[in-house]
Amino acid sequence: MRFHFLLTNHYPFGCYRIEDIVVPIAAGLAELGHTITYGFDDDIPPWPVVNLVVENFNDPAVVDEIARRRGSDTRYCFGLLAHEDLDDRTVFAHPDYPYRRHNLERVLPLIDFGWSIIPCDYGGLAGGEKMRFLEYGYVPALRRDGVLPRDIDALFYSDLGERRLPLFNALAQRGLSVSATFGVLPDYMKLELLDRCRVVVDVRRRESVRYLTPTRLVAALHAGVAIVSEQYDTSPLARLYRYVAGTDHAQLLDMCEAVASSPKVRELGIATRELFAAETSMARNLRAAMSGTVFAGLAV
Amino acid sequence: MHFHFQLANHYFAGLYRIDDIVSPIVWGLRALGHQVTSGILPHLPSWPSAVVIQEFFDREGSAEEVLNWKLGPGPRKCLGLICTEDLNDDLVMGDPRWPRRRDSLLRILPHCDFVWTIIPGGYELHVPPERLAFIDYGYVEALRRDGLPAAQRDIDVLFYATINERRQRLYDALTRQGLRVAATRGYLPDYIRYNLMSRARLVLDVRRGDDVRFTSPSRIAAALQLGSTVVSELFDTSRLGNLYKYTEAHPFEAIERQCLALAQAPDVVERGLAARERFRSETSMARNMGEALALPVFKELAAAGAP
Repeated sequence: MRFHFLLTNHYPFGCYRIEDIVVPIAAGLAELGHTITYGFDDDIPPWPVVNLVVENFNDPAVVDEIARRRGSDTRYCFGLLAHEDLDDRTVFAHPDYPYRRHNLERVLPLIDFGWSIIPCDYGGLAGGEKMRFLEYGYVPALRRDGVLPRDIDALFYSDLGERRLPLFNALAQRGLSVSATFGVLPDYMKLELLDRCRVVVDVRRRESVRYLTPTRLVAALHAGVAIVSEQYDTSPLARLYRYVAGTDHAQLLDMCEAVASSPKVRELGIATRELFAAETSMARNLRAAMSGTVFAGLAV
Repeated sequence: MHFHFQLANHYFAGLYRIDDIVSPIVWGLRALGHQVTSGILPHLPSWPSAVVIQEFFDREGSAEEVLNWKLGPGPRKCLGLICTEDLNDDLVMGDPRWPRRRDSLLRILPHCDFVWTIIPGGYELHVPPERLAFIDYGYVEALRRDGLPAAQRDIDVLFYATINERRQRLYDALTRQGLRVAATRGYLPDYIRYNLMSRARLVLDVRRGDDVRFTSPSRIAAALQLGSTVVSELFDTSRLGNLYKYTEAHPFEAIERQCLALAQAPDVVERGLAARERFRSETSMARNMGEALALPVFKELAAAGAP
């Protein structure tokens, strides 16, 4: 099959923000033998190509276009990739994006299938029954064996903000070398930072956030970097805590310092990556997510 | 030696545009065994580390920040500048969107310990020869990537560039000829850019304006690293014209016809792979960086026990 990521609604800079969401899925699909393409605007191939759109439709243009194509004589296949907690008001009731939730609800009845990387409940929404939880797993194509000197003790693989910045500063005050990806760095800088760091620090952006960020953990795991996580998630995503050094928020600084200063930190990161590789598979997860009738029709 | 690329002056949109310029230099240095780091945070290492900045000082105060760091109190600092533009190109240096760009550059140049330029754009008038080196782009193994098999290439012509009016005319003409045309748009992240390149039968290298004097070595090198068959607009008579050896180079007027013929050629993909092998065997980014490190300041850094 051909999976076509239609990313008009993220162009240009949003394409960088969704990279860690899209790339493991694309690589997992490629591992299963599928063809991956990317496109924008009216580059919307008809059935049997699967057009995958990534949620964030504050601008309704893409949803309008999907609705228009649904009404045409040509058959199309649309899949939705969702990546936020439906109940997180800091996302779906954000005053800068007043139409985001509304257009998500509009698109659900229009899609053929949907994958959510967050295990939140879509059951109450029209079309929500088409959404399935998609877990991240190991993809051989994303494995990185960095050779750079590990000169950064702690890396915030995220933007900073009011909750992470005090931790960033406190670690620096303790004498650790600390850096951050700020959420918007291009690959050549982001991957270099990952390859240079001893520990990735994984902290939620607000107290109210219910779900961990699987993409952050998976990026660090593929790079073979040890992770120190704030542990709070009790959903199925918590299975990823098996691959981190988890603790509560109050103990994060001590845990980061201890792990980063361990002479075995590199071996820890690599051993954890091997465990992740042995126990999980993005391709397997995707195969399971493609068990619906629409995929049976596409395969034919 | 330790080179720290301080890229904060490109934050954040510009960071996406300079990948093809910075990465070959970084990996060429690493291939020589040097330690290279990059970042945007303000703390910068002192001598004997070298801080390397890529030119673009348009934000108010950005030139002053560099000069205050370089000339301020404290330990000695080593400042290097990568220059990517033709000083005489008014499309860039006279662009009203960036009114401080040229003046800021000319203020900083005298204080640089070394200047690396990737185009012969008039820097010898502002920088003494013992501090100025030209960097030719060459092959670097770390950036080698492979495209899709010929049968899976579903894009005939890919514009590896932003699309302005001059390129749009060609884009439309190629589309009218029935070719499948796409563009990298200048801002796309690697995962999309490489996907487009790996699907393309031809990668097109066309200058943005008739007055531009120099080809884009970083664009050609990026496409060659992926084994792309590159169709170049033939116009550059400087040393950069050496890169045409690895492309299908034709005058602008002939590009449409050549693209049409090449896109249908059964060996179109093999041509690019063969060009990459020639590029690999005849050029070396590491060797070129070694030549750029022949300036006196690098002997001084090495003697100072640079890490």
